Amino acid sequence: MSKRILIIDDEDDIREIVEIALQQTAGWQTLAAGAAAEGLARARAELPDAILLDVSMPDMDGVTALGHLKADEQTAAIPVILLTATVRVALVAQARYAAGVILKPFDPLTLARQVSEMLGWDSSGRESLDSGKSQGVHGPLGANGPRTPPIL
Amino acid sequence: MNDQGVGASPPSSRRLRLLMIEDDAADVDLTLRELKRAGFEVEADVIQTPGEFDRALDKASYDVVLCDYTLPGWTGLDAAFELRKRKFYVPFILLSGTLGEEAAVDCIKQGVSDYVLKDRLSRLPLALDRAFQEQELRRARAQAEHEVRQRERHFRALIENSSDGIALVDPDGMVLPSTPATAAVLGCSLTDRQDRNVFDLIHPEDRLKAQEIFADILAEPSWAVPFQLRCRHRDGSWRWVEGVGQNLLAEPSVQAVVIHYRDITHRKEQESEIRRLNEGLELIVAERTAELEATNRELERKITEQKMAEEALANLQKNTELILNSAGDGILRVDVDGKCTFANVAAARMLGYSQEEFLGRDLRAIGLYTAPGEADGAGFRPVSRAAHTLGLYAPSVRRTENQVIRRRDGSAIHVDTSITSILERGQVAGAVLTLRDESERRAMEKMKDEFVSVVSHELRTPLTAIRGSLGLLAAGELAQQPGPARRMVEIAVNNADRLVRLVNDILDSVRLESESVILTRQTCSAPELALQAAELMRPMAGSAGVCLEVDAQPVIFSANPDGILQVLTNLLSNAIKFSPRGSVVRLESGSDNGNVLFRVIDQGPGIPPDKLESIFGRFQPVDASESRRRGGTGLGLSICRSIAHHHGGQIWAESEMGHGSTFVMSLPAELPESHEGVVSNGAFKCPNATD
Repeated sequence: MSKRILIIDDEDDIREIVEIALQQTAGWQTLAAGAAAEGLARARAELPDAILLDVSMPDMDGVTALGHLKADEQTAAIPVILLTATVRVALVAQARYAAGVILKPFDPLTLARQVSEMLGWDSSGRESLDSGKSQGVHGPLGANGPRTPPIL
Repeated sequence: MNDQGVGASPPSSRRLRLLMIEDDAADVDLTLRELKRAGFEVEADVIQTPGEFDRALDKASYDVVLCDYTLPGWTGLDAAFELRKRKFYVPFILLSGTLGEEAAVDCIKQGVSDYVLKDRLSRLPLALDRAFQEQELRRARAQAEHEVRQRERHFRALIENSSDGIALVDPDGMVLPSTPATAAVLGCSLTDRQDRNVFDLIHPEDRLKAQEIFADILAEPSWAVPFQLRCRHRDGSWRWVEGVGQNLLAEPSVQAVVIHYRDITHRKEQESEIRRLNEGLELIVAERTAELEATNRELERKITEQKMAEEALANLQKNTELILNSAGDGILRVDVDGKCTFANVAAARMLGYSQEEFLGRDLRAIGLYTAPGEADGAGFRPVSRAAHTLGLYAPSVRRTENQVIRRRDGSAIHVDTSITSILERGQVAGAVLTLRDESERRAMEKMKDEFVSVVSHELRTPLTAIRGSLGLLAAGELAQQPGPARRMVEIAVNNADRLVRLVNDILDSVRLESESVILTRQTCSAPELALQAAELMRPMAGSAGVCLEVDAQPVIFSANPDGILQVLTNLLSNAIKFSPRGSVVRLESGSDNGNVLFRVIDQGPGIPPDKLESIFGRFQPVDASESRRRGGTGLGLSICRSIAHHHGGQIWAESEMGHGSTFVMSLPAELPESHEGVVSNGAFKCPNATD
């Protein structure tokens, strides 16, 4: 069963990468929006299975967008995963409304699996290179990333 | 008769009282008649006897006595003799019948004035006249002699009674016979000084002076020349002598140099004694004065010291107040009762009260602290009283960080407080409360946090793209899809570039933000830099279809050329990015009022007025996604502004929506001391450009 994922991120390149990653590794369908407003509209229109939401967007930050999504009964049920390059205490608090938080830079090969795990879907697609990660928040790869407080 | 001793004056106007001694009446008649005939008015007493003679003389005075030579029992000579005995000096004329020559002479010798022969009575008036004349002469002579004698006596009295000595000296200084007084003064006998020279008596030290004085005396006979010298007394001692000397050599009665002198030794001694006493007195007075002066000076010094001490104290107080009032932190002093006794300017400012309003107020009343556990209505927990108390009774510094204190207007201020108690002679006398305004620091930290978070985000974004794209490629996911694969490579490359730019800009931005950065300056030419910037941006302009125009006036200024170039290229880059194809971007340079100006003018969409200022902030583009899409880092304009500020200049934007934008940079020209060289205009226009 193929999922339909809506990516809302103002960075063109990142949208492209996410789409390709999800398509290639999980075979999912992707929808993309370059701004929060557009994203909200598409969410209502397309009712995707999940939304990947960038937090820092110029016109409306992701947390506010999240609020709107949850406030709108049409979209309230759609699980939302926050994508962000910054870790903040407030952000973590808001994660109550989000199904999860994924930090940038992320590993494109494991992205789909992370999403599946967060949302409780069956693992689909091929085996990822990395295994054993089943936290709610997946930290960035590499030794020099900031410390990630484990949150659930 | 008349007064004794002096002859009577002859009768005036021919009146005559006559005493006639004649026994022959006929002779009397004849005589009287003769006298009458001569014009005399005669009053005659005639007598014969000596007894009558005596009586007559006793009772009356006569002008003349006429006497017959031959008288009964006596002679005229006897009468004359008697007269002379009585010292009556009246003319006595003998009348005689016959008188021999010898007898006549005898009579004259006896003092008879004259004799007249009776048969020659006509001679009588003549004889009378002559006798009167003689009498007058005699009288005058007697008078004169009397006067001379009187003068002599006066003179002698003066001399002999004078205490001054008088010495008579000849032109060589030899002493001539002297006066008794001289002898007394010099203690020698009257004869003692003969054959002595006066100069021998004079003190050797005064001798030269004496000779000079003596020469003066001799030279001017009309002068009395004063002197004062020491002379040797007979007893060998030296006496001070004062006097006058006068040359009277030409005076016949003197014929000497007269020297009057007196002993002034005693006076001199007295004078010197007085002088000595005076000096002694002066010494005492001087000593006393010196003592007084010293005391005075001491007093003055003490007063000055005190004044200086007071001044120093006042200065110290002023300085202390100055220091306290210049301190950036708020400083408050409370007494043991917790009442404020001093608040510095910073404290007043921080809390919104005036300095005076603090005085005497309990700090609790102004909300500076509350009882422990108590919070005021707004939920603030100011400095706790416990802390205050602790400060008062425990002599140590107690620090409380990050208090939120309520200001007078109700707003909150973050402060860092510390309390120290004041000890005076071992007793707690109060406490000092220090307030450090943390607001700015917190604001700064907040800004820093934000910056870090934004930078972190900005860096992670391209890193995410690179990681993602390369990750997919590396895993071979796109091995069968060359299109997407190529796309991934592109993404990696682009984002790597972007990362480079970002890192550069971030470093620039942070570096410029630090005030210790010094941009080295040199002489720059505006046209040169403008043309250089235009050259660098030409390829970008070309591919964007935008035409670059440069119009640069020759201006020389002092600046960091790389920095200016960076600004110009940045502004041009922005202008090009936001200009539609076919439009013109102009770069102008000129001068205005000692400043050099650069303008970049584009025909893009313009900037909304509320963003005209904020775009110069970090990561504050007009349209973020648009900017990022065009490769902007979000730091360009803030870097431009930092560079402008480092040159002491300004940069700003002017724009109207829909009518393009103009970015202006103005720098002080600050020409270096000497500059030689010619600067030419830099200008060119685009071909086919529409203005």
